[in-house]
Amino acid sequence: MSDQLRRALDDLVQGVATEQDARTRAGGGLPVDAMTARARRGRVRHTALVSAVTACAVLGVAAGGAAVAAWERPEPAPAAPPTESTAPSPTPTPTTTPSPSATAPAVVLPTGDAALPFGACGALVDAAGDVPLDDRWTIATTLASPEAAVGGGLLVSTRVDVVLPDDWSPVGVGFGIWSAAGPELLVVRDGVVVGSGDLYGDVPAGLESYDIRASANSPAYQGWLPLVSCSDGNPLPAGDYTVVPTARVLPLGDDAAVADELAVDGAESVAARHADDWRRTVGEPLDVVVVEGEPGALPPARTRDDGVIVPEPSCGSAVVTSTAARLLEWSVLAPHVVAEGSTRDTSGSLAYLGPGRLRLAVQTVPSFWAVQDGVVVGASPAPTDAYHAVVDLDRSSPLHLRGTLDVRTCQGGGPGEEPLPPGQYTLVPSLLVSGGEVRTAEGVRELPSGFVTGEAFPFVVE
Amino acid sequence: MTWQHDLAAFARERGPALVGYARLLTGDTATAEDLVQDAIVRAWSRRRSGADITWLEAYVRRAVLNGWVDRCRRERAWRDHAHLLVDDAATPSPERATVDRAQVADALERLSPRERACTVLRHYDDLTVPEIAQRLDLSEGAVKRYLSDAARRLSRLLGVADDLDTEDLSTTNGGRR
Repeated sequence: MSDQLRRALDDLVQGVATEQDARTRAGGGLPVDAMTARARRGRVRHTALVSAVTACAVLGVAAGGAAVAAWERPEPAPAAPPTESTAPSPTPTPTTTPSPSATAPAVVLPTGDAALPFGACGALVDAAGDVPLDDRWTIATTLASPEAAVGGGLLVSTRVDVVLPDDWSPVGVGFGIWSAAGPELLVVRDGVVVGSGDLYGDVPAGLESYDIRASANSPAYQGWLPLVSCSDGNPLPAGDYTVVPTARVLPLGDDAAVADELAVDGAESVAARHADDWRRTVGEPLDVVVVEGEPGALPPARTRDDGVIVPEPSCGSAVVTSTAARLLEWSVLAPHVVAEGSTRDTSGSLAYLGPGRLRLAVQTVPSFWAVQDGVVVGASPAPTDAYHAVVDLDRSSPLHLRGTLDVRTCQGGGPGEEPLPPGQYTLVPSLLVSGGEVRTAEGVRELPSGFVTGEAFPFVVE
Repeated sequence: MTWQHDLAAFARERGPALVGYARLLTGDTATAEDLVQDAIVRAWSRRRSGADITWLEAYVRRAVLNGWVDRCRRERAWRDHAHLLVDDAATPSPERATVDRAQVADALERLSPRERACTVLRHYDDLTVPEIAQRLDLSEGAVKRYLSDAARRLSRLLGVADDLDTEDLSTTNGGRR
């Protein structure tokens, strides 16, 4: 088959090339004039940078290295020549006069104002807090990449944690209220707040309460933070920045009676009665570099959710799987062949592809259904409550989960203690989800509870 | 010759074949054209005129691949998982001796981006597994896995025997193109 495939690939390339040739002769094809104009702008920018770096080098300014490094990062590494090792490297033409890009939008960055409170646009990063700082909560934040293109944004994961003393002694934060949108992220340049926002963006989010008996942390938020100026909304220019996560939290003490108050009155009303008691926690700053380059964009949102969440099959029954191309996708990486009785690592990603945000309680370890002759003959043991979490996602990045591929033979209607016997099966990846809410500017839509399934694959127990 | 003339000549002479190459990766011609445009612009944004055209083509082809990888990552199609689909394609038939362009184009679109990239680099560019791993920033084991999965799926989709070489065996078309 290899030779056939090679010939077919050749044939495919030649076919497209012939079509392109015909288009070029007809006045279509690659737009040479537009490409030339873009290359000209690129040559001007590059020459300007090289000139600046050369000047820095002559003066012995170490920062020049950092400048060129930041510029170089989005460029692909030049390819090695295919047949020669001495081909010249591409170098800029060192004669063009530097000038700004004609297409670069003018952006207004706020200047520092020491009178503004912490977190305000233009405030100093070390400004006095609008409410007292409190370290009884922390914020865990990670970035998928510390680098973003001008006009782009950051993929952020963030969560507020309640700090529990080792002996769980009450410290007044057993109950509390915080923003349903999660932590706010301040973008700081030269000590001044130049951008800010949370991961909800235009999606409305009010306040919500927490109960430490249920969970000592907020939902795990994942999402996209656009990097724009808080002065005019234009993209932040290239340069070095710091992202500072912060959250306002209202502590409501440790008396369980407050849970009843919250249940009856709601978080907004309770918060209104404690307007002077808010506190602020600030997380560790994260360095970010914004570089010239092509910014990413969110894919179009899917809206169909019918058939994406299916009921759990019982042993001996047929499997109903999620309908493809809906707003949730569960993808798994797992071995196809295992020895009898062995367990192997597995991982997966749950992608939300719909509009706005998805709030969801989700099982945090992959599970599987084993199918033979069209019916379920085995399954993963049901995970305990310790393996569930509340997540809050948008369609910018999937939720990654890890676990063990452990499938047991059906026994008494569910997975028993015995491993699958040797044989050939079809494994259906599955993931328990519940309490799902699609949150958009138009409102909140609830999803049913059940399982999201991934693509089935052949599986052999030896 | 000015660099502008160089660019125009390169786009005219090598552009169609490069779009064909990019089409193997992307599955659609419009995206392939975008990638080639970006790659040519990138090459000419930084080079002197008069560079060897063979070197330039290799550079542009590499930039096309990098651009495709970046685009997949941005659009979240490039996920850390293998495609585990059980295809419904017919069992390979001994009567099937050849595969044609349309079938291959259709089959390539059924592969995941990583499987497709590995397949093109292995069977069109004739790269070795270590070279593919370096080019795509993957482990060699992962490349073998993608090649193996792709071969199995292609054999199902094309209805031919699953005998694609996924290891570093010698190839038959005389090295890189």
